[in-house]
Amino acid sequence: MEWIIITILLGLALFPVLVESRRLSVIRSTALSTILFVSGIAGIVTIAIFNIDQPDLAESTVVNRPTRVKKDGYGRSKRCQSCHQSQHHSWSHSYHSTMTQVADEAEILGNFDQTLQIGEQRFILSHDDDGYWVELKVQVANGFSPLYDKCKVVMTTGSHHFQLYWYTYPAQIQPLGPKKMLGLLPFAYSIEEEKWIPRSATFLGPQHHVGNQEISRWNNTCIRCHTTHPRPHVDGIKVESEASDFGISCEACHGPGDAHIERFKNPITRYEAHLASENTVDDIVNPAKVEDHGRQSQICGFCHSMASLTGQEHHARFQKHGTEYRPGDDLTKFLHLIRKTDENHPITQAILKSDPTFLEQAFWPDGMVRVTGREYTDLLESACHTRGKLTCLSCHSMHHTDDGATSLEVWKNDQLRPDLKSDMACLQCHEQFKEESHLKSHTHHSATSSGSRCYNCHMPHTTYGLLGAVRSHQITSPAIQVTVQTGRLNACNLCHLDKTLGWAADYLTTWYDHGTVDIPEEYVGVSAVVKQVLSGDAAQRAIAGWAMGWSSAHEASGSKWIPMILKELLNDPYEALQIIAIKSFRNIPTIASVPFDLLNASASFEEVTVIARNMWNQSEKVQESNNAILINPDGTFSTEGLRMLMEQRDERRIILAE
Amino acid sequence: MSELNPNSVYRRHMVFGWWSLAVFMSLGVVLECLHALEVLEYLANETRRMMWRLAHAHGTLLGLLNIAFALSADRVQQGRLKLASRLLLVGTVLLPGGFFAGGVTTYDSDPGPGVWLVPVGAIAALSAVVITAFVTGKNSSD
Repeated sequence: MEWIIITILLGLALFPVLVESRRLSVIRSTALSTILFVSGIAGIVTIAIFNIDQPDLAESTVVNRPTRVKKDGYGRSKRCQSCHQSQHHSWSHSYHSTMTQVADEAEILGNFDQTLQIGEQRFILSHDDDGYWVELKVQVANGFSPLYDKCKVVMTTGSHHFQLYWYTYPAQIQPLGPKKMLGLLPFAYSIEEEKWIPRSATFLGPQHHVGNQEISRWNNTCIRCHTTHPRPHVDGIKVESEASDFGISCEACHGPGDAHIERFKNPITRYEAHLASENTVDDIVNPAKVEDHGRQSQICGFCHSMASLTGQEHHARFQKHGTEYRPGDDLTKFLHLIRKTDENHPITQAILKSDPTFLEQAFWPDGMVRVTGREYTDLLESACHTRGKLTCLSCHSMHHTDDGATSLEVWKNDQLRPDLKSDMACLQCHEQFKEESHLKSHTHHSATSSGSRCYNCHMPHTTYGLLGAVRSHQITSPAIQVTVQTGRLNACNLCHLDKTLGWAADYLTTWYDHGTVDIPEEYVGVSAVVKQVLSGDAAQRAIAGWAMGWSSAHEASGSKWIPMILKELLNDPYEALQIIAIKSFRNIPTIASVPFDLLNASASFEEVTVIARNMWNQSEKVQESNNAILINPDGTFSTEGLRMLMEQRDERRIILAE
Repeated sequence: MSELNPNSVYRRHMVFGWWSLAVFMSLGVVLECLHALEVLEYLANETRRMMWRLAHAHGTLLGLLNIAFALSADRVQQGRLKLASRLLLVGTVLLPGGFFAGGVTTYDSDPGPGVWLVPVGAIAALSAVVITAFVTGKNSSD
């Protein structure tokens, strides 16, 4: 099309000139000289601007935080912006881009006009024209005494659910400051709640109110995935951490851009590439075009996996030079991917020697990951990936495509491809279920029911993360036998909150010829979710407690009976579980209006109990007499049943560090 | 160079200028409609939006320039009038036309190959302006 337009335009424009071309020699030499001179100057200025690659002078003078230093062909993302505007635009709105920010550049979300306290430590937050500050005081006999001068907040982590703040220490604190070694404010700012929460409460763990400043954790650990081309440079107290860019920027996924930029600076080269019928030589990796679907997924897996560096030698090289992995490489040469199904691997065994409960905490007994952020590890256990071609990019896109229906704000929450919403991602391969009749005969639910959504059955919320449950990325099918063997709730019971394991097993046997399952005595006659909320270990209570606030589950199971059981989590010894209970209550009408104190959930217990009893009496479920959800034959609540289940609570120590 | 009747130059550039205004102001109306109707093919493609906006703006301004040239025709040195006239017509077609063609197909932030017409048109239009500037008010004998 454009060639036709170009030809017509040229014909129209040049015809009169060609007619007169024999007389062109009459152009006055002065006019020509002027035009050439002006054009030449303009060209030279353009080329000069294009070629300037100035060192970042502002960064080179920084001494109190890790810096951004161009190295190994990697640089900052802004240099990609001029050619890839739309991609850069959507990326810059993503949470990847703001994972790590310089505090004085970032929009600090937390309120820095207050004092926070953990145990005997008091953190006085303030800000002025010079930046944001944290002053630490400790309790003494007659009040609180400053431990040292104010620390300047220099970096932030996160901008989606929580924001964390890192500071450098004042000069008087030797040997810590001022250096590029960072300490962590032991509070996270919850963006959703607009509230400070002790960092210890954001993870599932038994520890309460621990004022750990996690000195140098950023430099040693966070830097690997929260920056682009990181070089930790940590040698004892000598810390010179640097990265090519903060956050997960363009080159984290596309590899070093220097050669690509150099090649395509020339517009003629660019148009040769645009107009070529075949792919031309390029020096950058486009993950979507990596042919090996395993290696394509490994690009995400570099961070989204349970992994450790392969050996001391590699670790030492990483400390000095950063990772040698480049997108498109075989990741397993650089990282050991830890899998429960490969627990005898020497590196995994070495990890277990220093942390014997590591696998138990990080995985369900059958090898499914139980903490969020490790999606590639889940993918490795999925037949859709190992036998099919499923990759991360089958469902997700790191750049927003404007389809008119999915805004940038909606997209950036989970970065799902707008064209693959709902079942569409699965239907790319499982085309037969596009037919409503096939779908209904497969799911035995109505086509519009949440029970007919592929991911509700095959990617249920069985992973703990971010004070709730998130979808597992291991594609599985519901199986009651697995619940019996692993203790992990299945998709059926996560939705049908009021049903027993036996009920779900009967349906799976009838519908899908699953074999008979011997239901353990403890699960007989009681709803699987009720059982786990009251008797499960902390990880089970977290997932069951979250499910009690899930709107799809409320549609299937009603919600008025739930508060009488869920309220017990308000007194749970795990702080994270108290917060999960509050979040679930907020999804239940009537009780949602209770002014919960996120950090003192038990204070609301009495008020919630009164409301819960009233709701209980209004519940349609109560008319049915159902022991599974602790309804006595007379419709009253079975306090005795509740007590018995609470007495069975699994008190084992659980720590789920995301 | 054979001389040109200033009247015929006046007429040609007046017609060309007003029609250029008509065409490229119409393009402006079309672009406004694309906004009003939220046509994604236009709105979601920043490069296309820029190219077509530039086509609209340059076409309209060059239309005005043609009218100004027509009004100056009788003051332009006869020997250079015809060349300046031709170059201005070339610029008026290629400059906005190149921007428009460049927005038909785009490659990320790079416009389509039609944009290569723009520098040709720009040099032609600039040449016409410079030549006119040099020779306006001079007699043929200068």
